[in-house]
Amino acid sequence: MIRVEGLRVRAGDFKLYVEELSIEGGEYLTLMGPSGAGKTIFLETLVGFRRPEAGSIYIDGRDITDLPPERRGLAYVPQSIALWPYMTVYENIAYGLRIRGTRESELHRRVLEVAEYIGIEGLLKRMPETLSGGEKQRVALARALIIKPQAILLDEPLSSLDEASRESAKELIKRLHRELGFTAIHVTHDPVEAAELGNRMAVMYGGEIIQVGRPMEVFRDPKSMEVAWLSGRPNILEGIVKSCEGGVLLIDVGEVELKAVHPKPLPTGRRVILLLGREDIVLSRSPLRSSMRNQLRCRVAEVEELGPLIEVELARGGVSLRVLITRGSYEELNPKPGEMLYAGFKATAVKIIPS
Amino acid sequence: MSIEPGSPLAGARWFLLYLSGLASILIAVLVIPLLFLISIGGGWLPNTAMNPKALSAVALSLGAGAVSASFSTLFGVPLAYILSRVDFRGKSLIQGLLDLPLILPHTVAGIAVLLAFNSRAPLGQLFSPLGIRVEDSLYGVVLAMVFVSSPFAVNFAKRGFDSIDLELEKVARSLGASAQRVFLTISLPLAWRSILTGWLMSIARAISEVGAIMVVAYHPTVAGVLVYEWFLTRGLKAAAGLSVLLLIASLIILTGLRAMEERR
Repeated sequence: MIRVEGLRVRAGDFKLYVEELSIEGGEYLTLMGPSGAGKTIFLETLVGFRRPEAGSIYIDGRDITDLPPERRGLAYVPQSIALWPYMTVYENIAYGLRIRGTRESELHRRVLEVAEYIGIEGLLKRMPETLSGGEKQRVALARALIIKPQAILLDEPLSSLDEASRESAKELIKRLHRELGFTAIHVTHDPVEAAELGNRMAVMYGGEIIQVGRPMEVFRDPKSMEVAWLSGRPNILEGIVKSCEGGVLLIDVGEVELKAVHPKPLPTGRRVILLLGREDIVLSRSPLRSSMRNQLRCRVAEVEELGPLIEVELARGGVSLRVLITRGSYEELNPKPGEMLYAGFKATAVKIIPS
Repeated sequence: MSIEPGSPLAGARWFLLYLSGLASILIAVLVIPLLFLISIGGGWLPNTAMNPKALSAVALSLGAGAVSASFSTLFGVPLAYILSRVDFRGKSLIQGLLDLPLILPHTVAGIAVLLAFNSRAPLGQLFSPLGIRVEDSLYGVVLAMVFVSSPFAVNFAKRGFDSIDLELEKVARSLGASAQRVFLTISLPLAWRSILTGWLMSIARAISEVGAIMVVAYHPTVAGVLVYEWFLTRGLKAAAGLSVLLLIASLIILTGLRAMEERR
């Protein structure tokens, strides 16, 4: 277990203060917040690259606050992935064991084992510059996991990947965590990513952790305006898988059927939670002629102005959807409560979390 | 000369010609004297190449240059790493001092070295019991060369360390490597090319030094000093012959080392 108490860190004019945070062994904690919130500074303090002015960090009850990074056992995976460019993939993965003086035969066995487990055994002789973003990501995970660290600290590890690689990287991380049960702290600015991956989610703002809880609790019950704003208040729906064909799930949500793309097949009857960003929904007065696989004719329940954006609340057969539109779209559509509108969104915009 | 497709200079052929005209003036100023040197000195080359004094002066220049550059690199790389990674009071002053030998008149550099290290100065007296004196000795030649050429070794190494993504070092620390281990296994291999370039530039600068060496240690005579001596005693053409010999020897060694590095 990692425990942080009364941690104060100063970086120039920026001050970070974490009164108390515990991460249980085997837990996957996502740390979500906007740029400049202090997420990376917090992570760097945990790893040992920044010295706190006050406070303590414990791992399994042992105070590690004054230990140098190499003696903390926290494997760091930065945003840039940072594979050593002059080493082969094999040497990159082997580095942590090599500096521990592991015998060559044992080292070779463990590199092959972790490479096979992560599905990169065919890349071992390659140089990092020849790898795709997704492959680099896998190598970085293998390099961190091979030393069996106390925890893995990931700083926005998916932000440099394209959409397709990001989805498969998420699935890989979920599988590895499920099967290996390592402890992880994963920094992200994406609330949906935080919800998809985290057992728990901590929201950081202005150098402080302002809410910690299960992602759905944080979304449903934000304790402050900042949390509500940062979490993007996605639409959260509950449903049951009706069918699964070609990677597309058909899900019963109340009296509505929605389509969602999910990388893994889920059995019929499985209960799932659906996350749908408010900005991912398009509104129209007539049926949409586009590739969007979800189109619903809904009644406008409420229209609320939120500064430069307008939130339109829609209702259809017991399902409530909140949609953010720009002022330009608002003036064009001019939606009024009680009117009927078409709401369209892509199947890929619906994020599925098996409940 | 053709403009690459997609270049922001597309359609600017006349402007490019105008720039090329200006550039060719500088190229002419650089190349024409070298052409004269090679064409006139080249005729004297066979004589010079048979002259033992000339050969030993060239060998001394190259040997002392390599030793001084190695000394500058050995002690300059740690300094470059500190300057690249650590902020401290007086850092700008040290960086300024490092660049000072580049702008000082060479004779002034020689006088400074001689004042500090001559056998009657406190520092010189420290080394005298070991049989080391700088006046008119190989030690003096190397020391004068180090003084004028070490900024290249330090600055190139620092540039190499500056260009390393710090995350590469941080990951290694988190995976269990000490700071020393990270320096040896991550930072040095990544900065290696810049360090080698600094070493080569340092040799080149050391070989070209005359003023400081003449003040500190006229003897043993290095090639640059001998060129000046021959210019005064034997005339322009003899000096040109020795210059071409030094030029060829330096080119062979420097391009050879560069080629070896390219193949690595």
